[in-house]
Amino acid sequence: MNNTNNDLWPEDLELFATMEGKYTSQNEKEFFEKMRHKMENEIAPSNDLIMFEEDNEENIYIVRCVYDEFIVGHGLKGHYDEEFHSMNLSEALNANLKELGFTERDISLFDWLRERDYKGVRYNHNYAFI
Amino acid sequence: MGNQRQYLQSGGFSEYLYKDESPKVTINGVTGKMISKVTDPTGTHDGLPTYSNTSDIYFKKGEDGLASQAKAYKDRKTILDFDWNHTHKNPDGTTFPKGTVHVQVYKVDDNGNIVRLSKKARPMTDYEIKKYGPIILYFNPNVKF
Repeated sequence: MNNTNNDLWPEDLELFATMEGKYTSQNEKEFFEKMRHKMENEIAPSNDLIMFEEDNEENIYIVRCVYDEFIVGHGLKGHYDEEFHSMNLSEALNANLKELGFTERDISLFDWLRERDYKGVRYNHNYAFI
Repeated sequence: MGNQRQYLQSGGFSEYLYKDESPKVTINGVTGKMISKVTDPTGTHDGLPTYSNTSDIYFKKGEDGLASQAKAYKDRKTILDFDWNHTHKNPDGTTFPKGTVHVQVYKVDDNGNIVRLSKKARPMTDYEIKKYGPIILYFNPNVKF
């Protein structure tokens, strides 16, 4: 029996299983553990800001929607490029930021987060509860 | 309009987090307006509120100035989320292209717990199209049902 509020996509179950025990830092471990908890248990009907564009030099933002949908976007102060809306975390992390037109560098969101060791990630900005 | 922390069961809110982006209109018996959040420094990433004040439906303003999402309320609590600003895919493969409404159904209990009734988004029902369709098209004439 599943005791969570949201059943994860098979891709995300595989992602979490693959990552477990292979984290490159404590911050990476915190990211995956807290994301899994949020995605399974913490509804975000009015969205959950994971990365704010003013908290990183390349003005990338990440937003969690409902349980496990994600928006990856780029821009500043309301002037944004077309967003990438993924149905699960795996899709979001696999997004290529250069192909989306967000960065000059050829880099996935996962590698971008790992490169900055998850600096700037927020775990307390669920708009329904602030 | 607001969320659980600001919601007053007796009416109104302890703090108003949203401002009007359009006049309030009533179409086909449904009252609504376009709103945006004012109190958070993180800009425009928030969705529509969980609770309404006196409207039946709120709209979020998209990049093109037209509505990009709507939420319908009953007894001031979210019941339906109409979204069309991205391609949506259900786990069974059902896909809703960008521009076509997919619906998520919610329930908010008396303790403020928010429950999404199904992971599977669905199309609008005939009843919903008849009731909410005209006001959705008023705020975005390009939407498909």
